[in-house]
Parts: sequence; C-alpha cells; structure tokens
Amino acid sequence: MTELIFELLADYGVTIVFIVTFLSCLAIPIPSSLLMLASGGFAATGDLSLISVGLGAFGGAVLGDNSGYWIARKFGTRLDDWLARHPKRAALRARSAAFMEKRGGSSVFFSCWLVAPLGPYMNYFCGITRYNWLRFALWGIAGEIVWVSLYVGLGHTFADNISAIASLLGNASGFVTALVVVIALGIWLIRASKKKHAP
Amino acid sequence: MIRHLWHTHRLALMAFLIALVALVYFGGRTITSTIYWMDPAHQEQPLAGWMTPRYVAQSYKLPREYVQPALFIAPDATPNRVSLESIAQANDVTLADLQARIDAAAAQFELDRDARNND
Repeated sequence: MTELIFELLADYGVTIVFIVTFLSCLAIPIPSSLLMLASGGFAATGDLSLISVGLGAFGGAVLGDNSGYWIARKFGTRLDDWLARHPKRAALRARSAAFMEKRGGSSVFFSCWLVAPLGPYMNYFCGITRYNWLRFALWGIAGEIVWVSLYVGLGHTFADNISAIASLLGNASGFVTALVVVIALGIWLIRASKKKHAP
Repeated sequence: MIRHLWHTHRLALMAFLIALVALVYFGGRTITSTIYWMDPAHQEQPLAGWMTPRYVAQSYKLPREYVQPALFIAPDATPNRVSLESIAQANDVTLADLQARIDAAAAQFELDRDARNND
C-alpha cells in the first residue's frame, strides 16, 4: 500500500498529501510522514509547489486532529461514564485529568511531532476526557506547524536522496517514541512500586 | 521489585518491556541505516516507481537531455509530473529496465563530460 500511495503523489499531488495526513491523524496506519518527505523532495525538483504542499499537509493534519477529538467527544461519553463508575478507574481518570490540566498543552504539542505515532490517540483521549477544546486546538495547530515544517523541510533539503532520509527518520522517530514511553512508564512503575513499600 | 510489579501492575510492566525492546530495535536500525546511507556507494538511490523525471534528474545529477531519452520522453515535451511507474507501464517496460537506461545515460554523461574536459 505504501508504494501505491507514493505513486499517487506524482499523479494527484497536494490532494493526496491532504487526504493522507488527514487519515493518519485519525490513527489509520498510513505513512504520512514519509509522504511529506517525498512531497518536500518534489517541491525541490519543481514538481510541486512548496506552499501548496505545506498548506495541504497542515490543513489535513489540523482537520484530522479536530475530527478525531470531536468524534471521541461525541461517542466517548459512554466510555467516560464506565471509567467514572469503578473507584480504581475513576482515580486513574482523575489523575489523567489533573495531569492534562497541568501539562495538557505541551502533551498535545509534542504528540503532534515528537511522538507522532501517539498523536491520534492523544486526540481521542482529549475528546473522551473533554479536555478544553480551544487549548487542544491551539496547541495542536502549533504542533502541526512543527510537524509539517520539519518533514516537508527535511524532504526539501535532502531531496537528492529521499530514500536515505526516509529510512533514517523512520527509525529515529521510532526510537524517540520508544524512548519517551520507556521514560514515562519507567518513572510511573518506580513510583508505583515505592507506594506499596510505604504503607 | 519486578516480581512485585508483575503482580500489581502487570499491564504497565509488559508495556514497559515492549517499549524497551522497541527502543533497542529502533536504536539499532537507526545506527545501521546511518552507516548504510553514509557509504558513498549507496548514495545513488535506486529508482522507485513513485519518482518523477525531474526527481531522477536531480537525484542522479543528470541534465534533462540525458534523462529524457532514457525515460522515453520527447526532447521538446513540456516538463510533466508523471511517476516512473506510469512511464514504465505506458512503454511496456519494467522499473529495472528504466534503471538500466538511466545508469547507461549516467555513464554516457560521465564519458561526455570527460571528453569535454580533455578538449
């Protein structure tokens, strides 16, 4: 499928970029970052307009993020109620809400580009917990500006060898995402084990 | 401590271990792909179906006059954004054929350039 999407880039240009970034922000497993690299490369060779590519990718991403948020918000109330019913789950839910109140903005911001594979789930999480939409939208816009600039920019700069930068970036971003999860879960697990030892 | 966590927070512990494996996996691949792509021999990226003629020209540093015949494009044709896959299908050849034609064109470009420099 990856091959097919890339071949469609030459035929349909910015439209494909818009559709793919939109779908990827809804957690559909589609290689949007790689496509942005290729479209940046095409902008360098004159096959596509850099501004159109940037706007198309940005538009698709922001629309996708907010669609995911609102879908989760409309249909997530049942899930939210289920969480609230059981005391242990309600405590987890309350802690998540407190975390989001304090660090929600930066979480949304970084989920767009630094740990992009987790981005769509952040959208759903914010929707289900009814995180303040304006904060979500504004931090999301900032994060998507970074994401689009980074990938389209890198594709443009390394146009001569998109295959190389795609390979490197794919592995590096997988590494960074895994690192963030290891650190976050590691801290959480250490705290959890300490709590039991101190009654 | 781990055994205690296994009993109390099994899911989180498993997720942590999976993330740790992913960390080592992606870290290793980042290093190997860096080494692979830094090798000058690999910096001529192979043709892929999604590339366009202009892209091939830039990546292989070949002038239009050499790229166009190799990709079955008429010399006076306006620059068009078309994928190599479409070109291959339209001309009933494979991507490997196009690769061979481009490699030949690149070799010819080298010869012509050396000949010009020796004049």
